[in-house]
Amino acid sequence: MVFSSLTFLCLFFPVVVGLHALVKNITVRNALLLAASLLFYAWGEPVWIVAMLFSTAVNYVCARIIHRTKTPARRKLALAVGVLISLSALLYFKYAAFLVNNLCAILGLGYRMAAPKLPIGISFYTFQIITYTVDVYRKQAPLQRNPLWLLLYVSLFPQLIAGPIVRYSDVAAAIGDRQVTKTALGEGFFRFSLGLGKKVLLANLCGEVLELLPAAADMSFCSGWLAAALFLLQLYFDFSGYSEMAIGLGRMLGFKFLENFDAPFVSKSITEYWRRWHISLGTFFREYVYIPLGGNRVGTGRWIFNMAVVWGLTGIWHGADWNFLLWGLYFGFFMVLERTVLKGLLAHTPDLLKHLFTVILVVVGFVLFRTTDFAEIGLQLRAMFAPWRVPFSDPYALYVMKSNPLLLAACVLCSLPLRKTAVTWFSRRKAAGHRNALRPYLKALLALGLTGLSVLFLVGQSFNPFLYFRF
Amino acid sequence: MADRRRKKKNRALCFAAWVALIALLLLGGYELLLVPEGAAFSAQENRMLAERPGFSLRAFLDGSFADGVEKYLSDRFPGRAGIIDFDRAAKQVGSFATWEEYARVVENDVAIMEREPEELPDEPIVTPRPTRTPTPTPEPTETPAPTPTSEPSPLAADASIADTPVPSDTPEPTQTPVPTATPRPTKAPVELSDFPRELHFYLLDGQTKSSAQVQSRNALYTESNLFNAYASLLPEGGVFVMTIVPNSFRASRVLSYADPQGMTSEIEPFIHAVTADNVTALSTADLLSQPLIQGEYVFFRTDMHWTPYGAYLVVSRMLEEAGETLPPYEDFPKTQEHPFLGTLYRDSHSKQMEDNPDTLDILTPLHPVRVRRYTTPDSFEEVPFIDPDANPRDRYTVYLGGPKGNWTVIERTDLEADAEKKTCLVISDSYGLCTMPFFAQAYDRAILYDPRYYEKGNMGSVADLIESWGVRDIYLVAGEGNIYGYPFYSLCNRQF
Repeated sequence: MVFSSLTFLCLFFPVVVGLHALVKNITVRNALLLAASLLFYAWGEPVWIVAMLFSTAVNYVCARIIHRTKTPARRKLALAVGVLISLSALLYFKYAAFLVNNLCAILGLGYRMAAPKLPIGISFYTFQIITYTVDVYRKQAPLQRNPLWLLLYVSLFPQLIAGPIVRYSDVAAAIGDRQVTKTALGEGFFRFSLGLGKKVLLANLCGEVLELLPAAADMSFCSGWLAAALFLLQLYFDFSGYSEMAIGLGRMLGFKFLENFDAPFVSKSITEYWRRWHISLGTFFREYVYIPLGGNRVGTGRWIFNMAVVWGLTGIWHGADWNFLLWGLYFGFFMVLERTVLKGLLAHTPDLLKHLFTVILVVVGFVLFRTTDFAEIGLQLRAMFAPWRVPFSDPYALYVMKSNPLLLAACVLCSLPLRKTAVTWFSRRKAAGHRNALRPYLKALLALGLTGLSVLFLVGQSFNPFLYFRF
Repeated sequence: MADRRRKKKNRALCFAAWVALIALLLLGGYELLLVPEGAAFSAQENRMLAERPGFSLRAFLDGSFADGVEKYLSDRFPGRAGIIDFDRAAKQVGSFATWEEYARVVENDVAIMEREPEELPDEPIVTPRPTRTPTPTPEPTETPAPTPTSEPSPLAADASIADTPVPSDTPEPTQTPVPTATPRPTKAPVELSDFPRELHFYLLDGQTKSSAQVQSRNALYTESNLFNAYASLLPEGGVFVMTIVPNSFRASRVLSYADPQGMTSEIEPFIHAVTADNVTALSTADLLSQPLIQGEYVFFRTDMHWTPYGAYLVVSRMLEEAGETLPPYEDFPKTQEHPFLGTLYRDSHSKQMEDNPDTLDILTPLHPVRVRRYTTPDSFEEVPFIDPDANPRDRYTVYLGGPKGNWTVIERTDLEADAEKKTCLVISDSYGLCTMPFFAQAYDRAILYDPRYYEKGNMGSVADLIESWGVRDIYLVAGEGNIYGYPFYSLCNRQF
């Protein structure tokens, strides 16, 4: 089930959030939430719930062994078993076909392995369960003695299928006890409606418009850039909208998830961009891969190696194909450049130029993300960077620009840190002695309006794919 | 004080959250509990709406139950028709693209025109059939003519394979005989392998032609079978005549060309060449090309359909095959609806269209008729031939109130009750509506059958009805959208 489906909005969401708010006993609340989360996951693809249950069970046992035993070697062994078993499930479902097929191609064997069906959200819940076991090992998180509550953490429906990746230590206390206050319910609903609006009113429409543009082989200069920019916007609103819905739902259910996006397009460097884009994934790789490898407190050569590993993994986490690996390494490469060769130059570059440079690099980077076909990637890059070899414009690009000025303007506007700006503005007014009496009503109106409009659009459009559904 | 303000703020947001939760729950409950079960057709979307899915463990495990629930909720959402209109209109807000720009992109033929110009062939592709009466149509074009042999054609036998996908390298597909279809001789036996890989419907611009529609070998083969099966039901002298009507967008495309040469189709001439002797396939594209580029009003500008005058020209030609003639167009009793803004306007809200509306001629036959819409072979309701209260959002449906019902019979009332009535069946979609004044004029009884609305469970087999109603001639008139983009023939086949 996805949040932007009518099944979720009209049936699941009101029933679960409503019941959860009415029930006061924490055990009953947890039981209700666990049942709802399992139903949420099982809806549409119930078979692979087994993989999630198995991974949770293994890590539950391993964490208990880690907690109980004092011998470092046995603790490490239990940690290794838990992490490796979780990763091997991910490796099999997501990467086995890619690895086997490439190996066979290198060895000249004719065998091709068919990719197994990828369980929904496996990339997210695998990382979550790993954070639990590792944090217990590091003694940064308490042990969860009730396996059902551990399963609740792994399967918690707001963040189950598309993140953000929530560390156990961030929600452990809320699983033990949580309050659903009126503020939390209202604020959560507000955030949820913002996310829903981003997904349904912006991402889906960007996707529809993108469909109108020609294939890479027929792209003009304008349609090449337009397609790249629209895809990036679609992905951003899709994913950040989903994250925002998750955060809002979490609030309504008494949890506080960390932010996953922070207006990444205002960044003035690639490094900053990645601090603002998919923050929970960046945090995971920093905490659980980069720092254990030595981080930047090593020699330059080793640091570059660490960066390559982290960004290679970041890329390949997004999909089992060479283009994703290249996409990750592309960003890693520019980060290394920014911190080495370009460091001095960037310090003296005007902010506007740095911003422009970053946006262009990001837009180009996501051309690598869009398709696994390198020929298509090459053709789109040709259209974008060799305008003398393609027409400057084409009717499709012209039509898209002329027929969707409001959408394009709304996308640009909503990719700015509007919410933060509004909060700051209201705070300043308050500090200046204004009452801001209309603020709660405006928020309520906006939330109801966006939810209503999104439901109307969901009914009116059949185009409703979630790009991050399979990651 | 601050505490009170915070409480006020919390109250407003919390109130909004509960309002939304309850509203959403009510909508969900309404859909699940109050929407009546069973099939429903959406004329707006031209498809059957989803039905409430039945639960089974298997359906739950394979995900089809979940998909079904989502489709059901979406299809039966309260006020769906209005919401879809809203959705379309909302997407147009702020747009300053012209209708032509929209059309070029949506119809996707820009690339073909600009990148793959194809020279018009010097020689006609299809050999005209010498035994036929010469027609005013342009010379038909065609693929290699089928080789005549003395064996009976497999095409003559069967219609039930119309939906069966036939692999292109399988010359002899499995055929299930249709009990009521008696094979009639065809002029030339044709194997699947004799069929061309594909045939096109082209728009012509000087020396460039762009493919607007394509029909595959399998589709051509199965539909030829279907037509033969229909024709085999007819009495001696009866004819089956078919045509595919381009949508009006083609007209605007052709007229926007620097050097408009009209439209042409390879499809109908080929079908004509390979089907039984009493099957005629006429190309509306060819028949209406010259009137179109000469500026005659044969297609609407704001509606996807042809005008009643365009229909008149084609129906006149179709009736010739059955030896029938029509009085001049001007002789038909006529009222006019102006301004008429049709489906294209409704979907685009184009200012250009609004400034240049159409005029809808509303015609009736010269003799008095009554219209009965049958829901079962024995029960019917009387409806007006012209329905002045037809859907205000789609005034084209003034004819018979639109394309609905199982079996709509238009019958002369000035004949004696026991007189033998010359009867025709018109298999059609909405394009057939404005042909009905002409068919009802030429025949004592004209029956309209739209496979999209036909309920075989209530009415029984169409083949049986054709026989029981004493149908002499059958006409198939359908828009290209339904022929190429909707399982129209497949429905015909299932209902046969």
